[in-house]
Amino acid sequence: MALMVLCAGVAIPFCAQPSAAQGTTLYRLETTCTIRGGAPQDCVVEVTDEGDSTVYRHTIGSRVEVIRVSDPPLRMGILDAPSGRWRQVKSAGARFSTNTICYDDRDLCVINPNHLNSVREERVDSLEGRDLVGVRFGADGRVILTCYDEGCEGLK
Amino acid sequence: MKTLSLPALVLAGVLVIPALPSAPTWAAAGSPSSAEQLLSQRSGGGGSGNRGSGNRGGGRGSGGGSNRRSAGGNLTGGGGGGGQARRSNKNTGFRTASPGMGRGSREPRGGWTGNSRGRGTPSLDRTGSADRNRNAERNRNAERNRNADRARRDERNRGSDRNRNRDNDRARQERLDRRDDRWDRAGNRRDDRWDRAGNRRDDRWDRAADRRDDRWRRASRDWDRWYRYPGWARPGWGPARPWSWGWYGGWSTPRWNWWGPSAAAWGVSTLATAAIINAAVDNAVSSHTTYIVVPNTNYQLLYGSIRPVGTQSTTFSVIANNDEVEITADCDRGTLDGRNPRTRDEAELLNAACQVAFGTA
Repeated sequence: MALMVLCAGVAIPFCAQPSAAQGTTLYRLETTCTIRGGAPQDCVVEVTDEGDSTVYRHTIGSRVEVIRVSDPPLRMGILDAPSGRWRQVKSAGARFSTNTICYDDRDLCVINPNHLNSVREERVDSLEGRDLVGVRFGADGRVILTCYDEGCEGLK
Repeated sequence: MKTLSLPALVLAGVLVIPALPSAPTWAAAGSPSSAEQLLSQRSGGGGSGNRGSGNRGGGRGSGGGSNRRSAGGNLTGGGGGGGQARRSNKNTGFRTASPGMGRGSREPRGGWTGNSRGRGTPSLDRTGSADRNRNAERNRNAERNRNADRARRDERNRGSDRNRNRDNDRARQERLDRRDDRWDRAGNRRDDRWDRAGNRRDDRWDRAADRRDDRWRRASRDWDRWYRYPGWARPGWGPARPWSWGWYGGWSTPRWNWWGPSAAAWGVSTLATAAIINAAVDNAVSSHTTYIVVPNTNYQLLYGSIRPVGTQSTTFSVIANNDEVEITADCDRGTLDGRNPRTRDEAELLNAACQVAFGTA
């Protein structure tokens, strides 16, 4: 509710209505996802580059989860289907050795080596020798914490 | 051209002044936003991960991220005088403090894969292999320590035995008579020892300096190469390979027509197994080494250089006799640059490259 009030009064990118603009399709990946730590399910990820952001559309059976990532600065939003608005992702984590990315703790996890391969090549310095990386976002959607490996223990 | 003052710009809505945080001074001094912008600017200018001057193909779209970041940097820098500090090239100490994740829009070397099904369950938990590696390392260290302790104990025992024998063999009177001679000889020996020790010390220093130089040269060379390595050459490399894989393997008795007679002539019955080759890559990734030593050979396979050619061939670079050579292997026909391997070492190289390219991992 607070977020909705905030969205009503201030122009924040992730509060805006989803853009109708069609981006460039980067790839379509048939892979495996989990929802809230449940059983692995087949899912399809369609990824589009929309200029200032990358949109990941996960289709898991009849359910669709859309994540939007932009940088810099790094921001992540998830599409709230009922309202059609973007809400901020609170945290995200990636484990390179399992090719997995999770959003909002483990609400949505997906095997996406493409995303991780790309990130790995973009951030050679900071990811050198790292296996687990996590980010947490503040109320304004900006990164307030980045952790690596053992530094992420205990963080949700 | 008319220049607007700062208040005028604010009133005109050109500049937006963010609300000042009520947080203590550390937050203002090292705010994430300014650090991130500075870092992204540096990344954009320097092309982090794009030092791929030596990128031998497969580098599609490698400039995309850099261009995008440069644009961002220009916008930031165009804000006026405030951009001066941000444009500084000095090391701030926060160079690697940028968020570890990103948009993932830049096409990685090797391209995008379209299928990751059947490559495990999504999980942020640590895989077992990492633990196994750590345990193996611990075991190796424990073994080394045990051996060192044993050696030290043996040495101490030998020393005390010698002392006892010497005491028993020599009478006190004889020792007194010969004392002066011994002193002289001891003095001479001491001088000799000092000279020899000095020489050895000099030699050791020279050798150590040479080794240090070699290591540095090697490290510099390898580090440089690491920047050119594709994103898939990392933990989880098997499923991360962005091409079709999984058909190669089980070549203990390959169906290559040359294998039978050649293997008999070389006196071998099998080639290195997939498990051995995969473990070598795992270890190389863990230790940030750019090559694996091909089992039973002196070849160093630069595994990150492996790229598929069609569905059954691969190109790769290998260091042989200190020279880097690029080779194409046909994994189905079992050839290197179009010919059958002439030695067992070449057969092992072919097998290792094909396993990394197309084997199950």
